[in-house]
Amino acid sequence: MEDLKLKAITAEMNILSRSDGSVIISQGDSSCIVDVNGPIEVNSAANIDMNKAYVDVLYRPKCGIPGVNERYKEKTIKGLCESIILTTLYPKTQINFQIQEMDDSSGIFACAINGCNIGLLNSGLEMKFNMAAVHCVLDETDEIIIDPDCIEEETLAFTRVQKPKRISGKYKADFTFVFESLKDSLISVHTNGSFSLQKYNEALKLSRQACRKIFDFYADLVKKCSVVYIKNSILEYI
Amino acid sequence: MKETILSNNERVFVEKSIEEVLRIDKRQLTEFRNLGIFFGKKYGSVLVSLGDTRVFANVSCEVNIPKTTRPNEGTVFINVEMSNEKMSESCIVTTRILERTIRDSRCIDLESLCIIAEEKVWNLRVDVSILNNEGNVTDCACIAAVSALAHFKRPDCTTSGDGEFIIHKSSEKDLIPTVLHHYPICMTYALFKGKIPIADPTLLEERVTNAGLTLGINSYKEICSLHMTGVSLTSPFLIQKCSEMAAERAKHVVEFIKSTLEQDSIDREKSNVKGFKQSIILTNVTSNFCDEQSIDNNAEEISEVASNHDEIIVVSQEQKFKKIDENTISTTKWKDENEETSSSDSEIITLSQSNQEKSKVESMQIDSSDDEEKETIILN
Repeated sequence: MEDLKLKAITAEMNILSRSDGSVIISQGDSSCIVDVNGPIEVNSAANIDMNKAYVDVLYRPKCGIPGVNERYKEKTIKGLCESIILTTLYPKTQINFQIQEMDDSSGIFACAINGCNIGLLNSGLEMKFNMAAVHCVLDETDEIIIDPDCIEEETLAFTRVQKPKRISGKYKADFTFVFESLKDSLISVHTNGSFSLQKYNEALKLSRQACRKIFDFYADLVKKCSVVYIKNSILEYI
Repeated sequence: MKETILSNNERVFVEKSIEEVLRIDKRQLTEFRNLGIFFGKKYGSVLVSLGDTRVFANVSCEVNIPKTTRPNEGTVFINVEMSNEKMSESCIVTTRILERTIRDSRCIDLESLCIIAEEKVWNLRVDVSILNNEGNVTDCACIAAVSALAHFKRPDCTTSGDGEFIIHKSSEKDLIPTVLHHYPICMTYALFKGKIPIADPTLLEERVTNAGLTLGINSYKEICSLHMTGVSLTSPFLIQKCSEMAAERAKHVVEFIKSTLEQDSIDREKSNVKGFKQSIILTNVTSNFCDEQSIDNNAEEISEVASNHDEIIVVSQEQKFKKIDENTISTTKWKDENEETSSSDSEIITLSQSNQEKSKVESMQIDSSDDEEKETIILN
């Protein structure tokens, strides 16, 4: 088996001045901007929940208007965010997520999920735990590749044709695993294509190892800026 | 997102300081904020920042039927979306200004977008997404749309005589850049007291002012569009003065766009495209970078509990009972019954399910014993 590598991750928090939490994240060549606002007033009376906050997710594709694929991503991310935020702390409010897809060369879904987590860390909303998503594919020779770059045909990138979600030619299947930070257990999985159960378990095992690296990345990111915050607060105290 | 209330104090403060030729962000009256243009990995996507205002624009193309009035010209469609709000008034205003500045000024060579006259033409779509509004969204959106159009390349087409055509992949034939005759740029001025124009207003200044002026102007000092908002007593000389200032600024902006495009094409030749990563300033405390990391395939440090929980295990019927036998529960009677009913050789169960089975078995065992009291205790 060839050496497995997780793509380089770059992220910057607080890039949008008007949002509570915002981040630009790029994993390899996939990048997106996530914008978190909350807790804010619920925009429609039907969504008011007396016991917990209402989570709203808007996923903007790179071009054209949102379609079924985007709705699917929105729904999955909404479910994930509802489970990681302590929503019961913010009753009768709304938490808004906006994801702007910027570059998609495979794994944009995992990138968006990781972006949401960093956005939440930046927004200061109370969370139960962190989440990290890892994307991997199964190629035609039954080898698992973690975090591949560009699995789409190049010509499709220019036009607005709704990308066929079926896996073509070179790859058999793709997986997106989402893990939580407490026990590294699986909280969401999205698969596409056909694969054997053994390969699924193998991919899961590898992804679990990869997710640790992403959690370390979160920790470094928070550590880097919290040092400055603590310094400032000590100076104020003196 | 709900707009915050503008207090009278803020209003008076801004108005007074501008009368004294001072601005809240230490700028000169005719000074613009810093402009940043970052191109994406793929052709036609760009992230533009003007101060703290951020706009993302993307151009895509599609083959379409031309308009009957102009059968040999392609079409351009501009779509503006604001964050936080759906189809607001300012969104429609921005769309109209961009349409007038870019489409109606005919800066794009639409005839070159024709594939077969009266049948097939390219339709360009410009999606502008306003991510952060810190004032002067129009200028930022216009720069984003123009630079995205200038950066965009469409696939090549060859036509055979009988109305058929082939769209080539980028590996087969080089991509064709969009032809732009000129680069129209929007310049916004906020008017105070009807006579003091300030360039590139921030959100606070935009809200305090009672009139605004947006000029679409290109580097040849040609005015492409003019848009005025609010009510104010002004003189025609003021508009002339503004247009002269705008023309000067437009030249600089166009030069900046062209130099960024050049830098991008040099990077592409060297296949050293950074994409949107370059917009991230790594020296900031809020940013972090982590290089490619290899994953150790053989590491076994993960907690066993979690891994056992999630994995899906295929257990054949025989293996299943073996497992149960290992747990030293003898249920021969039940096993026989089950074998009669089950037809499939194997089924997918998770480990937690198998645990459930086990508990079932235990309860079965208890059933066989006659002592009723014991049964209730264990079941509870």
